[in-house]
Amino acid sequence: MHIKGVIWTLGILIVLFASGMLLPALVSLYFSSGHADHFLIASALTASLGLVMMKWGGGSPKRLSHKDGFLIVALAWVVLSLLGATPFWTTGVCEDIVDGLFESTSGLTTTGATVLTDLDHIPPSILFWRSMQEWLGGMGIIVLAVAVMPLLGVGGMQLFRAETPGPVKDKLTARVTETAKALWYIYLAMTVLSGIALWLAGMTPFDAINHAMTTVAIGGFSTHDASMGYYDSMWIRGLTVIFMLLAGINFTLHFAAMRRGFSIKSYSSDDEFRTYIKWISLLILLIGALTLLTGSGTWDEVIFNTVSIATTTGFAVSDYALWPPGTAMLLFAAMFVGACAGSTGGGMKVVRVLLLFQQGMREIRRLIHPHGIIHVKINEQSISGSVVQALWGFFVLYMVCYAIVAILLSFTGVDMLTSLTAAAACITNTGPGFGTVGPASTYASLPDAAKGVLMFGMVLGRLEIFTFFVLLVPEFWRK
Amino acid sequence: MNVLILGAGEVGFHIAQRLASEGNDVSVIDNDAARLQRVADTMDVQTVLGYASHPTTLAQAGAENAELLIAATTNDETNMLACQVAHSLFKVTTKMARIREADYVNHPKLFGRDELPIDLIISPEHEAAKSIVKRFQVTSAVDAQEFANGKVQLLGMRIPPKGHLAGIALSELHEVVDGLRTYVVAHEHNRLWRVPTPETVLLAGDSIYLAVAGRDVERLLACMGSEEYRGKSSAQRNVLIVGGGHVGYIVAQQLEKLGTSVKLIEYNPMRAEWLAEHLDRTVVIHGDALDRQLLEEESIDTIDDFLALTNDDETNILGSLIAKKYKVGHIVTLVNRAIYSDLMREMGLEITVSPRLTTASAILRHVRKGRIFDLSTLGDGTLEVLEAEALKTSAILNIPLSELQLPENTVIGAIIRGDKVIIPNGDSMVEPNDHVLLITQGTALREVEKLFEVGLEFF
Repeated sequence: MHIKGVIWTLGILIVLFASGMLLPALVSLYFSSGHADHFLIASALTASLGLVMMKWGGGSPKRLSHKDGFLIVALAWVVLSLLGATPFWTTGVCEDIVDGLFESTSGLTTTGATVLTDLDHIPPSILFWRSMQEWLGGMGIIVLAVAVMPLLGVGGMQLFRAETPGPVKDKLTARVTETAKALWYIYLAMTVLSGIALWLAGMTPFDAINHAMTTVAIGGFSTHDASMGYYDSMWIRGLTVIFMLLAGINFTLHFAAMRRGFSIKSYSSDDEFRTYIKWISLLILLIGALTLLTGSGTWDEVIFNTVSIATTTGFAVSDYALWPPGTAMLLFAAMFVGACAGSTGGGMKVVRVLLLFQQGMREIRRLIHPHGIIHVKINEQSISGSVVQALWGFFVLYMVCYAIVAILLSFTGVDMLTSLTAAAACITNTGPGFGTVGPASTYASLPDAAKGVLMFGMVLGRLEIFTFFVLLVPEFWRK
Repeated sequence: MNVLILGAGEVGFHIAQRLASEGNDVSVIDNDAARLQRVADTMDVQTVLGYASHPTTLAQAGAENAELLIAATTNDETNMLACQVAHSLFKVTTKMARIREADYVNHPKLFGRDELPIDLIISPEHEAAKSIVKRFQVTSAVDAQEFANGKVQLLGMRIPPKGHLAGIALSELHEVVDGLRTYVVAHEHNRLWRVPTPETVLLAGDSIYLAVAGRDVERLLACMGSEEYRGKSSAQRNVLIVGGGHVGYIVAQQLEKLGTSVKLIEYNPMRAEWLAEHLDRTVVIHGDALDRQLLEEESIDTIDDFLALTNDDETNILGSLIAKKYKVGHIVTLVNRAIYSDLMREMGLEITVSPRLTTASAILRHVRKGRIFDLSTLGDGTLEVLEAEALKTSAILNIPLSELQLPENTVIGAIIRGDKVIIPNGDSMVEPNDHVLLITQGTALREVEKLFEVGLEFF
């Protein structure tokens, strides 16, 4: 392990992150809300820490092992979540230290769970910082670093692999820097497009930028307490649904489609994409039937809320906790399935669920053909046994982690429904749960210990368990 | 003609034999002395020991004067390279290569004067697979061959013991087939194939080939009363393929496209894994096709079609016999060795496919290009089918067929005039530029070819 190299890399990530804090300062100046200096202080504090680490690290590491990759990524997410909280403290929006940390972690991991109330009266610079944190975390700040800093090129693939979600990680281009760039360009383009669309649909430019960032990042922070319910516009809701769905698709697929001139075929021939669309359509139909039959909601609410939860975004246009109990269970299940691998969404990812399902079917077909050779296939390609095994390992660990987080939550005195759903909402990076953390309320009422547990769950979920867990195994640290 | 044949395997051997017996100067190259010895012992050809793609070896075999090169070694790359060498160094006019790998064949841009100079690509496995799939679609016939882009078909079938065909003379056939235009062009009795006359009487157990317009095939089969498979389309059938070699793989792939449900048994575990990876809906089973328990596990009694396509003739024959015991309706057996082909009928296995024969006929077809467009063989190979164009100078024009003096044992089975197909009777006449489908005995082939090639001499 190259500790110095790790420290240096972390340092440069922190400096990059600190420079990001200057943007909200500009926003503050523009709205003359008087918080620019607070952001400058936060940025300076953060940057100086980063510079010290870089100095101490001595310079760009010659090479990074795969272990270093895990260490850097896991530490970066923890450290940046911590440092991202500084503006919340310096501006005084969060008086409680834990609240600031919670808000920052929730943002960076694109969970979108909030402890802030009265968003409509919070300074715009803070709102912008929240949104921006989600946006940075959406495609992954480390992927961004790999894209913009060629000096990370050598160990780039290790970092890239440790951060990108999904069971199989592809390199789209010959060089990892180019891959990272391609992903960020697509991400940026989608955000700009989404911003313009929302602005044309009637949002203020500021709201449009914020919502574009949190939609495409599948985050779910809003600039209003009523979330998307604030806008009573079919256009805004419709566009948001479309961009949530787009951001929930594997970006590799977007890239492949772009190369072939946005052909529909490159999407429709992808098994994960087809499952994703079918799954969300099924959810909408079932939830719609339950809701409409009981007269507790309308079609557009059903579509919006379902897409929002199924892609793990976390926006809401109405309080779906008031819908019939069946819908709550379906939404709860949808959180776990999540969006596509390689997207900005959370959850276990559609492709994993699809593979697990196919693996199950394979066992059944084996009973019918005892000597049959049956492969698990995605896109007509056999998935190797080791990948399927890793998948089972992931599934078990994911569920165990979920259970542990939920149990720990209940130990802090949270009721059962809230424990079960808040744990799910955080580990899948969705945001709102049910009970006291439902779409109509916030996480503010939870005890500090509960918030700590949930923060742990969010990072665990964002890094898809393994990257984080590998650090907890003693073998990792043995020379 | 000077011909160079690379590779003395089953395909090379058979082609060499055919071409040599037709009076060509043939040289055979192989790097296996024993195989060459076998060639030298059986036929009158030159043999050269060495690597087929090496210029020295080719020169030694007389590539300088060769007009035709047939690269039929088992290695695709060697075949392609040999054609290139023959083209660049020896200016051999016509080059044919056996290429198995579908990935090469699927990129026609690779081949041409300025690319890989190969005039004809032959792939025995593809040819065999194609004919198996074609037969699969006309199961009540024993054989089906298409000519003139499918406008005319030759259907081979057995005369069943019970049924209205047994015991009638050919002159009475048109009554049985409901006035449908058809022409019996070949008849087999006691394993002797010949071109029939109107007086020929069909007996139970005989085989015949009928020429019929492509669009009438269904109706003809219906008249012949082969009811077994009627009502079951390709998509409804259950097929069991034994052997996942090249042929088995291609057939499975094609049948998948037809929507048939396919099971494939493969003995080699590595190959089975490969097949499971590359086939989409086919159920790949690893095991021994002769294992009774395995066959019953896969419910062989509900199988409609049993295709035995391993590389091993014995396994194919035994497998087919087992399938016959389970009363599988349609059994296709792949047989490579000539000795078995003759035995099949004795064992009650009707339908055999021989990649060697199919490939050889594909090559010979090309060799005889000119006014003759298509050529293949019927039955055991004694009868040949030619599709030829009647030039203005040809001696056969405008004479009613009943008065036409054709070489012995030769008939005109169909006349293709533009888009029209004429199944002839005695009054039909051949007009200029018609394509005619002739069926003739191998010995008369030369004379028939002359009819079309050197028409001027007849004036």
